[in-house]
Amino acid sequence: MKKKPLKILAIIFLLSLIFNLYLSLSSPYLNNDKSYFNLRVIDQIKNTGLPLFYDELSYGGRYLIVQPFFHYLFMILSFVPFYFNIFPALLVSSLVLISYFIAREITNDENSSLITALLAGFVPIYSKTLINQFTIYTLVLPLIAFMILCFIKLEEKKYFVFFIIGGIILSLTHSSSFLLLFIFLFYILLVNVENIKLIKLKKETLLFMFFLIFMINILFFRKAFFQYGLDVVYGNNPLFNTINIFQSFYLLGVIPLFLGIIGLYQGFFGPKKEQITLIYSIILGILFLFLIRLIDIKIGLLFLSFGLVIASSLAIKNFFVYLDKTKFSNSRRLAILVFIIFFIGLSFLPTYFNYKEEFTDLNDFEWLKNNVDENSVILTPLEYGHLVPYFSDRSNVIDSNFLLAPDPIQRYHDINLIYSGWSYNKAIELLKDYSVDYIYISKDVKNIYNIDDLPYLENEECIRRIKESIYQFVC
Amino acid sequence: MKNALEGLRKAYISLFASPYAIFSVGLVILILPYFFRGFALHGQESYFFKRISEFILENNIPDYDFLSFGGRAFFYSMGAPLSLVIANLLFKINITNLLVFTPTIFGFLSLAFFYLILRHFNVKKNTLSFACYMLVLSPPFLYSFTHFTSFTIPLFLNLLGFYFIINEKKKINHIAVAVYFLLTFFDAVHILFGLLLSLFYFYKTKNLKRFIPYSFVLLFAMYLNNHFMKYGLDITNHRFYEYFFTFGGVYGLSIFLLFLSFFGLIWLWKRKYNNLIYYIFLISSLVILLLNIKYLVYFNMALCILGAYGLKYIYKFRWSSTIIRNLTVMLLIGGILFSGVSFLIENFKQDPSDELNDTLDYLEKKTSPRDVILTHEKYGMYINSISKRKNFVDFNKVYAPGSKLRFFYMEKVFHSRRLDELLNLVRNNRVSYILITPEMKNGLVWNKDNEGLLYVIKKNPDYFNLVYDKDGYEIWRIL
Repeated sequence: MKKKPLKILAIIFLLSLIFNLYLSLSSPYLNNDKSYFNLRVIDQIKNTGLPLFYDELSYGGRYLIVQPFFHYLFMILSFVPFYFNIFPALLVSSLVLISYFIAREITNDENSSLITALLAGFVPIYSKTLINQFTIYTLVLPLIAFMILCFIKLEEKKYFVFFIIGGIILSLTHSSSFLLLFIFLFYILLVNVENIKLIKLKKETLLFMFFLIFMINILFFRKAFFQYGLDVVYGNNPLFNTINIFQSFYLLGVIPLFLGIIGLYQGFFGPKKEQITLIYSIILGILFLFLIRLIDIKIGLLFLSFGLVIASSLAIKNFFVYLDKTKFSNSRRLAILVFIIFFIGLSFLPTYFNYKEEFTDLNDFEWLKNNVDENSVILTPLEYGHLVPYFSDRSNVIDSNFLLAPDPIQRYHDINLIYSGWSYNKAIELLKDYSVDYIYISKDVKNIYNIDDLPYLENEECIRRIKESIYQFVC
Repeated sequence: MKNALEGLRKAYISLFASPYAIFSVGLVILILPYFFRGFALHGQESYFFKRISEFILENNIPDYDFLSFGGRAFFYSMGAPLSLVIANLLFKINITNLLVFTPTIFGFLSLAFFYLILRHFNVKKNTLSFACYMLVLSPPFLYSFTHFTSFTIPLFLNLLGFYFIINEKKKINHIAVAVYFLLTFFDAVHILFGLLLSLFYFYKTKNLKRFIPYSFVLLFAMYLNNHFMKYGLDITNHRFYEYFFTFGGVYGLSIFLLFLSFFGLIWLWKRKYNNLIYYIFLISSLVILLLNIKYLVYFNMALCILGAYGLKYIYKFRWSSTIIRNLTVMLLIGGILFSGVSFLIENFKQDPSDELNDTLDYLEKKTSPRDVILTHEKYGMYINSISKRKNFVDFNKVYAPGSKLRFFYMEKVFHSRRLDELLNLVRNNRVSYILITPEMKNGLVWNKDNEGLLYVIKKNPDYFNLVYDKDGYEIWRIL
């Protein structure tokens, strides 16, 4: 392996890492309330050695299903200060390295692989789903990417071992492991359709992986299956996001989208290669999950962006091949420079500007911890659900752990009604139903519901303001 | 590595493939739940059969059941209650003891006949043992024989009948006719399996002439069954997940058995259309299964045999990596074990619990025989059998008067927050008491303390009086 490309790769990796760390460490709080749930699970493991099985502060008490690998891993790393910022940033940046090696396998070209690595480091969707978040996807996405790399190089024994270990880790980490199953199902289908000869080891390993992922997930979700049957797949989730096509294009990044589609087109009509079929399978697997609404839109776009970035490598390589045939063959460096300018304008800056601090001031939650009865129930919107147990050590009404939760769809609609409805009586009835003691309504919450205050407030008979952003329910 | 595996295979054959090992393991698995929940009745069906059998013992077969659905025509499958009554009269063993101990005996004998049938067809020792272990670990088999259900006797009779058919002695063949005739008193699906299995056996052995007397008996049994029970094929819609135990079905298939059966099919396909008869048998079984979910207990047996061949196929297949082969085989066996163990764990707890039993006893003591008690259908049978009172609904929906309407009313009562509507419904249906269990309050019916009926009864003490409140079980009297 040449040293120069590796040096450039290291620089790209460092740039991505610095970028992620800068955004993470300059924010006062982690984005996404689920980050704080993960921190709670780690605290629980530190204290008891076991993850949370029953969360008495969530929904007023409920059972949880936690696939614990992520939490145990970070519990081990928790001696490092800011481990919840540093290691996720490292994992996200590792996509640069993995993408480079996958692209090199596909294109066999250093330049296009390096450009692909650069693209992989800065995708606008990362700002919404990965950066400054302590979520499982910071581990799952690089792990799936790494497993795809291992699968490409499965004939080498070490990659075979990595693939098996990766499969076990993934199954123990998150149900996204099913995504990998779908990717490989499409892969088998396409390989057969295209008459590509697949080595026996790959077939056998895929068969094993299918059973492994299935078995481990069934072990974890046994209780949920008994409670909901197959409704586990769809049921209990109040959030049915619809796709905004243009926003999705923006989040995927203009360059990966444009080059990715060209790459897929060229791959389709070019000589059929096993690796290209694998890229197709990634895209088709995710689109299929979108179609049957089995994947959250943002998470789906995250995985799709990875597929498109890898597909871009084909278009980039073909562009350089084409360039070499024209009279501009000496202008390779200039082309790269132009590409970098485009990259800054269309990938780097959108990724930077797309990032927003989700929580600006959570001091009121800490105030609640010190000033209200410990059995109190605090009402917040869904997006703030996990903050209540973490910062206030009090019970919430709803959070984003929907599986096994009591009636989250109804709760979600009721909470929307309490915050944005006009009926005082209805609000009182619902607040009593959920035994709410305090209502959290900060500026950000008001922005979520597009309100200036609780719309039905007339007097302070039942709902009294005790702080700028906290009401007490006394009836 | 290869030598080590060969050693392991030999050790398996000598240790686990012997009939002693199979029957010992089978017996232990069948008895295991009793050690956890005690030697007592378990599950709604056991209580239902106890009530019906005792009623027949005391009053002959009645025309009317005063307790189920507030009163209904006595249209039940009579095979199991009559068998219990006859056994009681012959052996002087009380009904409860029969209900507790016969499932284990029939389960053990069924396993034995399953083994003997497979041995008759010269199935190799290790495949035979795999099939037997898969059977004893399969949820449909465990459901049938870890407590008394409507499958306990007919499943055994079907295996017994078929074993008698394949026996070389003619006299024993004739007994099969009598055994099959007994199926008249059970659901049509059991007769259908007998018919299908014997047809395929005689076709396979090119002896269709011999099928004629059996088919005559079985078709006559089917006619009689339909004439008296009027259930027909008992075709009802079922949700997809109910077919799989792994996804929450009560006695569904293990998904891993299905995977193994898929490989069994690949093994069958090696001889292409020479095995056509087996494909037709499987397809016919699948069609019956889709029409009647009770056929699952028979389909499961077919899958156990197919799965055993599937396991053998996977093992014998030339893998490029022995590690992957071993891991895959281990995973699949683990999956089969997991389903069986999960089923046993789910059934270790006594049903009904001691707390529910106390509540039901209270109902018996403090209410009048004319009172109708409303609760979730899951407890309906216990209201009849333990409290000896009329229920509003229970699991025996077929031929129940206005059952759909009753279930609709039940839902309405549980979820209505309008006092007038609620009172109208309960009074029109002569409901005097409402039984609320912790399970009902924790997801079975409600998710919140103040939801629907829970809200109304708490807010209206003039109309609803809490007469019993212990361990989360509540009895409300309607004033």
